[in-house]
Amino acid sequence: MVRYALTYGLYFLLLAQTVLAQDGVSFEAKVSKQELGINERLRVDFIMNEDGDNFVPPSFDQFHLLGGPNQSISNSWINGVRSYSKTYSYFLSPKNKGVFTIGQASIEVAGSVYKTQLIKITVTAAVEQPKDPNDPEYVADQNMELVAELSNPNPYLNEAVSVVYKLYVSDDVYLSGLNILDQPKYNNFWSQIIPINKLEIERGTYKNRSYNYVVVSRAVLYPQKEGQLTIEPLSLDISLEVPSQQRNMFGGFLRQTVRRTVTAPSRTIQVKPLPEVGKPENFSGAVGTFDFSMTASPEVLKAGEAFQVKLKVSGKGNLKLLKMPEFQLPSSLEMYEPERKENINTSLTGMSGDVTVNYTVVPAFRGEYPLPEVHFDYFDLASKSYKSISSESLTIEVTEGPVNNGAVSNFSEDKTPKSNTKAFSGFKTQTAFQPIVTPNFFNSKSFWLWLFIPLLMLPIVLLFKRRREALSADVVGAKSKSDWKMAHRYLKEASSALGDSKRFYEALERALYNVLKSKLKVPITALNKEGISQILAEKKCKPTTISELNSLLQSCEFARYTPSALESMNSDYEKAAVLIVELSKI
Amino acid sequence: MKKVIFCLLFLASFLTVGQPNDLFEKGNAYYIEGNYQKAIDAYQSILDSGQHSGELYFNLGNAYYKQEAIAPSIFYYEKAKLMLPKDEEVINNLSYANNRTIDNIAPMPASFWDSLNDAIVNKLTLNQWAKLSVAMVLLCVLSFSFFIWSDGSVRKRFSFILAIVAMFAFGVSLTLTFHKNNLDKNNRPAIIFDRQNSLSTEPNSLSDKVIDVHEGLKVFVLEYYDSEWAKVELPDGKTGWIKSSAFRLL
Repeated sequence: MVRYALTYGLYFLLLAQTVLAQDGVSFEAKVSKQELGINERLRVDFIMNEDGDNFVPPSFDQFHLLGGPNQSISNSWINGVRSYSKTYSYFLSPKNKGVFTIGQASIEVAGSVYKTQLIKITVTAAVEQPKDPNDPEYVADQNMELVAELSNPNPYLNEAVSVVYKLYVSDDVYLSGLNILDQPKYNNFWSQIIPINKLEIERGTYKNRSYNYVVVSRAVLYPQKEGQLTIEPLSLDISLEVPSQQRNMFGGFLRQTVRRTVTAPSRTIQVKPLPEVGKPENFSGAVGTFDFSMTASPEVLKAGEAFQVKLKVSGKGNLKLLKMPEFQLPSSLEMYEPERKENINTSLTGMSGDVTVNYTVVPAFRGEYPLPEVHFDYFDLASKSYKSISSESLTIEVTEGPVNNGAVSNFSEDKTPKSNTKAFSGFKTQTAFQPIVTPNFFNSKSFWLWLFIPLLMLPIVLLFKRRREALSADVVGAKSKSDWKMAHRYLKEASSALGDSKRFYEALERALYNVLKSKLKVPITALNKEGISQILAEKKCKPTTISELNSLLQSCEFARYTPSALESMNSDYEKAAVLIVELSKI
Repeated sequence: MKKVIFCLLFLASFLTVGQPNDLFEKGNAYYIEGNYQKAIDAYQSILDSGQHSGELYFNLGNAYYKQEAIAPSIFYYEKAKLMLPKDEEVINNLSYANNRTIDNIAPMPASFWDSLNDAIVNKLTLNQWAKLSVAMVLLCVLSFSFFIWSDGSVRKRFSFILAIVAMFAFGVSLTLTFHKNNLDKNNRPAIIFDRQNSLSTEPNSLSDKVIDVHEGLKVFVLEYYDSEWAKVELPDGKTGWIKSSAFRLL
């Protein structure tokens, strides 16, 4: 309630003042606007209805004084009533943002001083100034547009993208001149600018409006980096003929030439990485549609002659950028630096054509050389998958020349081949098989046994030798031993011939003689009955033994002429055995 | 009991002796026809039955050579060369096969010891050296015994000298037997079968590459790690680690 009372009060006071001035002198300050942007201008008018003196303007400290004071006087008589006004005008522009006050101006009329009221001015941020639709530059800007058209804002790495800069010009204005100030730099792209020989104006629509347009510049780009890439803008300096407000003598609009610099807005491209799924191990980076072949000529030659291996990739894609598949040959083939030939056309849709790599190879030795299969991998944009093309396997036949002898001789410094011209040998027809797993003789049990048993034999041999030497030291002892052996043998023979008296007694006699021979150590010639008895007596043999021996020898002699009975033979055999035992005691 | 089994095996080997030869003939017939894969199958079945020979390996190598399989052909030629070290056809065809290998590795010049080993120790196999040692022991003991038992002074002198010489020969050949055993243990040649692989400085796939190797290259295995990796030496003395699946031991 109180606020309302105050405002109404104020209005009332103001009304009262103007009413007071009506019949007297009025002196007012008027501003073109009370709120303005910092980029706008302000006009301040001080108006009086009587011609006063000593006009003192307020100080415009807060503003730049752009113009003024401009004085204007109007004096008119209407129906005998004179109306007069005198105006002082100032043009100001604000210095700062904020709220400012325009101070009081004063004037003296007929000895009394009149003052204007204070005016508050609010300065805001810059405001857009409305364009003058008749300004030729404005008209020119409205009637043209420079646009960068991208064929694909979201390509794969190494996929061709075309960028075309088109200058659209409406029917209202004419393009009279064009100059490219700044060709854009395509960082992170492999780019080729496709030159335009002659600018041609064509019709097209842009933003639902029909335009004439001209292609200013065009390029093929192959993104070389993943992620967001920016194409720097293109700047043009153009001359346009714009209709002006003035008319010629026939009533047509006069045209005015305007020079403008236009810049296309910068465009960004989101580059997709190639998929990791199914990416070949040695992927060369080829993206597009390709065909691959490997040829060699001639395929049959002599050592020392040269042949050519040609790897050819043809198709559409980043041909200039791709790495040709590597080609490796056996070390015995001498390969020279390859020669790369390109036959590529670049158009807006990308590169097409073929790339050929030519290898010159000289074989040094005869033989058959299979050339390794070469694989060419690329990313197929149509199917969005990796594809691989393998070359046909080729074999080079070197029919004449030296054979590389020895697995390593060709690696050595001395490359002169020996005059060994042996052909490749066929199969062998004769063979003898043996088990693959042969027991290892070395370190086996039998190996060690075979090694040590002979060594162990040595002491045994030595032992035997010792023994023999000991025996042979008394030759007689050795001899009697052998006589004993004879005696036993004969006695054995005798026992086997027990039935046959003649053979029995012969054997028995021989056995007895042998025993005597060995025991008495006498030669067999000295063995007669008398001699034996004498020697036995000397050896202190029992007389009974001697007599028994004699009787036994006698019965042996008898038995030669008269066959005796089996019983006597048995008793004689036992006697002999007893006798031999007796004699052995000597 | 062991003897009985051995005898039976011996008899059995006589019974089956015809089969590998038949297969060999069959393989050769396929080879002449140009049907190399069938020839390989026939030869391989002989190997599967536990029998082998230098000629068999040679023919296998030839069949693989005709099939343009570089690594297996070199592998079997090398095996044939082990069994028939002086066969010129084997050496000749091996050089043909080696012409096809990609690697160009200059071998280290053989050291004095290497050539001495080749000249003497590698002339006989390990078992031959072992048998020679045994023969020398026997000769030594026999001639010594003869020396002991014999009477004549000429005979005694001769047998004594023979015993001393045989003893010396035994010492040398036994030393060489052990030396050869050592050499064989450390000499593990292998052929690279992978089309392309590389030696790395450490037994993992992340470490630096030493050199690229290709199929058919002969390497020497030095040691194993983790049974998956092997340290190998190239003919030029470079060493590095490679997956043990990349090669086959001869």
